[in-house]
Amino acid sequence: MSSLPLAGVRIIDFCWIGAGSYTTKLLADLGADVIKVESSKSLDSLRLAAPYKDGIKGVNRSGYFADRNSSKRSITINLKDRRGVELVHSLVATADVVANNFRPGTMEKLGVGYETLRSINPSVIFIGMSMNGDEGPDRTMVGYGITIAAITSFLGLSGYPNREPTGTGTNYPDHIPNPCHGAFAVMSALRHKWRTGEGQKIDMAQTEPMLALLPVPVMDFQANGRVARRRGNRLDGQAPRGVYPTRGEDRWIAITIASDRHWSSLASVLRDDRLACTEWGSSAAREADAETIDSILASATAGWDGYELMDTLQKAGIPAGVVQNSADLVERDPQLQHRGHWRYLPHAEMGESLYNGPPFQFASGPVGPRFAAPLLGEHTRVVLQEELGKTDEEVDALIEAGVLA
Amino acid sequence: MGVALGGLRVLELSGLYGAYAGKLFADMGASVTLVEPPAGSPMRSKPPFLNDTPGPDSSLPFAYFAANKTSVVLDLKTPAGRATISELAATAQLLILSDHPDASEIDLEALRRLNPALVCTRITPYGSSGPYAHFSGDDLTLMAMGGLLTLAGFPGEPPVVAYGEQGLLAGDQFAAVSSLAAVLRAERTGTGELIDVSIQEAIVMGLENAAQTYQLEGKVRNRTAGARRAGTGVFPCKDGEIYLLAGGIGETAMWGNFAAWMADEGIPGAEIFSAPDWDDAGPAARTAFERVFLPYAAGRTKNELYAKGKQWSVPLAPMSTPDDLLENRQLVHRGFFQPLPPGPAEGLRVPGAPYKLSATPWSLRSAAPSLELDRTSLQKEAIT
Repeated sequence: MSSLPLAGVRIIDFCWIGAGSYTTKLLADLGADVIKVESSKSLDSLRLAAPYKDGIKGVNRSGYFADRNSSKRSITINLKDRRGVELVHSLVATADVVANNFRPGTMEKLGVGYETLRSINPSVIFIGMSMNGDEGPDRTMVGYGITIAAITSFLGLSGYPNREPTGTGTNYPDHIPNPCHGAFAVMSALRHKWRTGEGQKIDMAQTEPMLALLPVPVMDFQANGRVARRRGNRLDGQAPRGVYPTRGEDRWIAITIASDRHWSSLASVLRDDRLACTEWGSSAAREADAETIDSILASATAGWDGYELMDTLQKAGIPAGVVQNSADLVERDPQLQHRGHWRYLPHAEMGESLYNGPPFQFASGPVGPRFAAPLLGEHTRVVLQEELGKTDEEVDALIEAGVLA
Repeated sequence: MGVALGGLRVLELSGLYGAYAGKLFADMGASVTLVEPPAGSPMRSKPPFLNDTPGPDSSLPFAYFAANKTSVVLDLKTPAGRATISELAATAQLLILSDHPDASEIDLEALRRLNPALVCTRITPYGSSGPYAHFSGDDLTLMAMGGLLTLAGFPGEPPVVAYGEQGLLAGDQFAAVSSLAAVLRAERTGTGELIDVSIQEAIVMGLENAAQTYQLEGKVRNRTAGARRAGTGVFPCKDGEIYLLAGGIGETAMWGNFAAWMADEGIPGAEIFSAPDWDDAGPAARTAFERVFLPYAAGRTKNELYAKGKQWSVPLAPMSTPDDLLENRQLVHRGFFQPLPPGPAEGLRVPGAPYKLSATPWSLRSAAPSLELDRTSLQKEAIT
């Protein structure tokens, strides 16, 4: 088995909450040594976000925090103390990357801004991931995944027409767009550093990866004067395309008809005479009568077991998928089990707890979370000793002085 | 200025997905070649079109996702086409294979034997082995099977999928991240990789805390649109709508910021927000909140309210429409939207750099390749 791709890369991580911590988690799972700089005086608020082990709140018990911080080490340092800042500077001297997702200016206030760190380590890669980026009139705006979804038009475009927009029901930009783009940018900069020795600053506004994934509305507006609107589950050229009830409480199946061949197969699988209407042979005709077709489909699927219908439709070559919930995914999905998606890692306070494995598999060997999320400050002593050469007594003295709180 | 991914040669055998993975490489300077079947990439048929006129070079999605790439037309059903792929792969660092119409003609193991340093990344709906490996999938059905769909919509009603086929793009993004990691290692060690990406599994990465909530607390998260705390959600204003998250998330005490803003405006009734017994999750809180806030918001624009949110550190954002985005002052300041280079859609502004790298900037260098030009060059190649 070959070594992990980012083995030997060190990241000093000031990220907290959502997108930032997820970015450095991806890099940590790929082999980077990520040292998360925390403080018990100003907690990463995700440490106090549900769910908790056994429902009991505690800084080392959040499953949400754990999943976003696998394979990382945690140190606690009081950056209000000059000696704490000096310790971080010494760590940065050993690092390849420094990451944060504060608002612009915060890292400077803490004494760990880019210019300072660059004078200590000229080849350092410094990534900042604020909502609006480092420059511009709205750079200081506070943002969350959901407000980023709103300002990028993603929220307003997602949902049923004539109903309030629904989005994804999550802080979507935090979980896929920003972590993936952040990780891609950092690795691009690592390649440049390895080829030239040059470090650099990466300014990633969290609105911009989301916008990069929404090109069509702005292009269609300019090219055709069309203003995109919510369309529910519909998509041009695919009709019907929707979510229909199946047997059981709150059970649904998604079906997409992307060709006329799909359509005739669907009619024969469901054996419903109403679908045999000859006028619906073309996609355009079906789009025009979408509402009628949807209501016929909904009555035709309602008596089926969802998984049985999915298997039957898939055998007929039709894209169909059960609307799965977290219990389906964690307990039953045979494909996720086959791929070993769910990982149970031992944790001192949480026991064997659940982590996502990555959505990619390497033929050369396993990849994914290497160890569970750290306890708050779990690695403070070992990092100070092994990376900065402090003795036990020196660490004790720093603790005594409140520098490592 | 440096070019972060300069010198990398990438082959992209994509269809309706896979293209964004190639684009991430191309935009950072890699040389990305799109391998198209004789009929052209399926993405060329994807609406909407320039001037609403279908044609091989007028798809707007293709103009965006294939910019900065070159292309070569190959018939992979023929020995000559497959031989050309082998030749190209012998000098490439990365090959991305997704739903290219002739994907089944490609033998990744054979290509890796010819070039052991090659990274091959295959993107499929459910992964390339396992009980669902043979299933077909599109964005909607994969969002269903990946567990994101069940979270979106109103309780008791059919779930509703996110705009813009984000599930397919999730697969592309994780494909790009894993591919670049493997390429970095291959450049250092000479050993490539075979990567198997599942789009379903990429979507599972976006479930927030739903899986852990089930494992740790035995609760199944479901759709919650419509039911919400006071001060959280979409609210109308003078020229559209805003999203307000007055309380913030988790332990962060943002509600005080909102109360201070309302008090400063001297709005009648706003004192309830600073009262010690105010509970934004209480039964009558939503009505009380709306009675005070809606008349205030009705007199102000999205941008005026956004500026107030910034001033008072209240998470608030305009519900932008696509035309708002082109004029958003922050995006204009950052030069985010960039004109497409010469080609059929020249000058059309498209999303630009998703990140600004000071030493190796993102760049938009060339328009999407024209199918006619590709065919001409193929014929020339056949003659010589």
